[in-house]
Amino acid sequence: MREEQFIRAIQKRKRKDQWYYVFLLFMGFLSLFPLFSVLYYVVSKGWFDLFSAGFLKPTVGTLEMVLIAMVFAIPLGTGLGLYLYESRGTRMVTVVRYTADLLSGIPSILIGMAVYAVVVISTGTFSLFAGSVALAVFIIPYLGREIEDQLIDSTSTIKEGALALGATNTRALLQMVLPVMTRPLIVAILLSMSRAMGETAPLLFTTLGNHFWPIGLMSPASTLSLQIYFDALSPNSFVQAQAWTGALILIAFIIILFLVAKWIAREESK
Amino acid sequence: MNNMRKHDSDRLFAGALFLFALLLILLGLIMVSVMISGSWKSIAAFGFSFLSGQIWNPLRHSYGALPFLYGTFVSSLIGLILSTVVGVGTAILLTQFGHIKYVKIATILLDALAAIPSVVYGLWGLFVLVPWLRNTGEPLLKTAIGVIPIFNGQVWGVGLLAAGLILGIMMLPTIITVSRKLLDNVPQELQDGAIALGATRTEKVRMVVLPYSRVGILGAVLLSFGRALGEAIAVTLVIGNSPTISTSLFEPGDSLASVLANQFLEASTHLYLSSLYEIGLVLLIVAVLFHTASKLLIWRVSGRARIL
Amino acid sequence: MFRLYNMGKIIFNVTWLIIHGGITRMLHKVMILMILSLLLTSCGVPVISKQSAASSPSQKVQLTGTGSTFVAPLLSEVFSDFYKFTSIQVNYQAISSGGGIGQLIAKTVNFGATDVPFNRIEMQSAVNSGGKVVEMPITLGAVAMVYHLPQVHTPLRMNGSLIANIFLGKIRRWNDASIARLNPGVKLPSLPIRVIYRSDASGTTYQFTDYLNRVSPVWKKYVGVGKAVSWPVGSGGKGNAGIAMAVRAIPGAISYLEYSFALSSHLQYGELENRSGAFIFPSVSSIAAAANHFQTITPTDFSIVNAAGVQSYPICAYSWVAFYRRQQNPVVKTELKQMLNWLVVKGQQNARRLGYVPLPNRIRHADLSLLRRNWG
Repeated sequence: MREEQFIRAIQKRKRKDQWYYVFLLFMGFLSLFPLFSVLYYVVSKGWFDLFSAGFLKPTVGTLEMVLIAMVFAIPLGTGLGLYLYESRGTRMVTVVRYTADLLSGIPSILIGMAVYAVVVISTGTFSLFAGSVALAVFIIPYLGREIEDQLIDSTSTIKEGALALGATNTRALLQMVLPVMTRPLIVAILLSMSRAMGETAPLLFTTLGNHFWPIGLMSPASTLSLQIYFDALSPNSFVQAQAWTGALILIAFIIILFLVAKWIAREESK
Repeated sequence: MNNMRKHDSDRLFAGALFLFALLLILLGLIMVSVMISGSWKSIAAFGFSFLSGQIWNPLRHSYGALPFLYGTFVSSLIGLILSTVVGVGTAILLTQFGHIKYVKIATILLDALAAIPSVVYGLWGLFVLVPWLRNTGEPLLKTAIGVIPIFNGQVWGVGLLAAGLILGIMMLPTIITVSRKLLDNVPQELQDGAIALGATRTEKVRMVVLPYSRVGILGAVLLSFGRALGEAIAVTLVIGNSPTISTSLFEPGDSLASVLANQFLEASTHLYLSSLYEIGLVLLIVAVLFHTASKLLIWRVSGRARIL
Repeated sequence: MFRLYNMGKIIFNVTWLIIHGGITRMLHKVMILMILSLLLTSCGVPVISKQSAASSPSQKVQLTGTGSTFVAPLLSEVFSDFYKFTSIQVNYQAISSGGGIGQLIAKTVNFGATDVPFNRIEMQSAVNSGGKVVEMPITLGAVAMVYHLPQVHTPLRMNGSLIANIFLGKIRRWNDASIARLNPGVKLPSLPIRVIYRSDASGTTYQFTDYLNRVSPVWKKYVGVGKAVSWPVGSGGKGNAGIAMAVRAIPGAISYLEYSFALSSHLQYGELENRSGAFIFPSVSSIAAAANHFQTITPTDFSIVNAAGVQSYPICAYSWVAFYRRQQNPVVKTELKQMLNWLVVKGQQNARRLGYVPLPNRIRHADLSLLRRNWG
């Protein structure tokens, strides 16, 4: 009798376990569902005018802006990452690390406002340059932290070895550690590029958008993300359809960057 | 001699690196000073009543930020609740129940979820989620649990609920990633012990794994909450842009970030512009508070500031 | 001395390390690629800042303007023609009228377009920022009452007090008696009315509220007139475009929309009762008729809503561009002048087709003489 009760209790617990599993599976489904839905709509609604000329300007604009932003962000971000890695343990570095985390976590629209107040107002024009600055500010702290993490994760033994052989700290870092770090660094850079590419909020107040090709750095430019935002707000269903095309192109670029990054990371681990 | 050279070059190098750190701090200071100097006029004119004012009417020079604070917190809270349940559930599934092969695929997919830009979520929200909410989702909720006031009211499609859902989706990847790391950090001996004592997987999760990582998960949730508060573009597209405070989640609202996206370039008087800077300042303070709180929590459990 | 030599050696050493370190070689490649792309970006056209353009007057510049969404369809056509004939590029970004005024004051654009002239405070800020502002009317338009009622195919008739009551939240259903009274024989659904308004600072809102202000004392008392007001009910949409989208998406919605947007978005719009008691559709002729009842308009006396005359549509308005009289860059000044001339002369040909009304001759002459007076 007792044994039967015992077995029943166990069966009950097992059933509960099963239900719990089903519930968790459902949660897993729920978290992936939006991804599939977004991708489905972007591809099915976006591929129609994929090859029309309408998105040439925004696409080039996005690439230019991100590349120029990287011109600022790579040296500054790398420097920051090296600083964070080199000065571990000091009180100053805690402050810097906290600031970096904070800056990479604050609402990106605030970056747009600040760059508007500092760059756009003082140069007297919305511009590609201002947009790049905003993206750079957006990337630098993220890149710096990413690089620091990569350095911590993979290289302390190499550096210790170099130091033990009598190299100066600087030499150990630049000659021994960084060469090994090439790939992780490039991965970090690619990931931050893909992150910058999709940003709209920092650009809204800084690059404005342009129906023409920008004339040089100091003129307004359009980007994919801005174009998607403006098109989505259009009353015209033809223009709305274009927003999906823009989204498809943007996601395609991000995925390409992502895949290249993964590929590089994999090469390294071999 | 050699020793001294070593020392000097290192110092020079460290000094050069320190410049980069200073530059970063400078960026932070510029950000803060822009917001403060920009909002000075508004602070002087309204003081603390800015935060409690319920009416935002640039025409009458009445600038109250409460509707935006309300919309920001309510929409983020909806997102928080949904993404916590779904996200932690998914993390448990992946760490405790998953087969390696599926976990790998799921990881790639979740990375992709994180990589989709907010403007694309906004687009999807506006043209897929909002019509669905208007035609199916909200009427269904209304008939099912319409007795609760927050699920009653006029059905718009756009509104706090739509914004909350979009934010929930956008918060998911962070919550899942951080929770997974935390759950993975639960010592294997503890888990094995629970199993050895005859616990089912469910009981193990409930009695050992979750209690062990609770604080850290709370930190992760706060972290993504802090990010959701500042999301501008996706929210602007679906929240309805109406600076009102309404009990119903179906009603349109507005958020701090989306009023900035809508009105920042349009302010035609100094006070108007200044009030918008003050909105920015409030947003900055809120973001800093949540960020700091979440970092402290995650710190406490992991000992390292960054688990992301 | 020795120390100095030592320092020099250290600097040399560090430089050497940076040049020869493996990573830096890799980074160099990346950097060189980026600098190349940067150069490519700006190779056809040299990097122009305002100063460098001033020193080489032959160099064309791109003009930038922001402002009203009301005139955006017209301006985008006009500027595309203007580019074909003069190869001067005018980049007009429709934000809203507030955006035209705000950014002109911030001196981030060459001109601003607004449906409502600067008010006193705005003008004061603008004068402080860049000196005298010239404002000139560039086109005429109207505000249409758009709605979304899937089952109703005859256009609805409305009057001022009805619209005021709807936007005050007093009338909440489409089958309300006061709507039915104006529309005998129309089968009205019992849908709730969803009021949609402009969430941004908008000239269209100004004209709409200006009209309600004149026809409804209650409106005047509780809401008033402005580019952005505190709406008693409803939900906001951004820009004329955002409104059109929201109305199309939401059955039972009602809103006010610039006439050309109402046309291009194929939304239903109603007939409005004018001062003479006639129900009038917005159209090129009914807008022109309203405008003809106002001989002159100035930036301080510009309202043409609720015009007299049986043919007049009641919510009409001029739209304006504003720019600083003092221009530091002569190229910008020449191009701006060309653009404005084109806008009030050739550009008016595009108006009719897009649902705008060409400027009456007297207004056009006034514009041209205003330009001559200011810039010779």
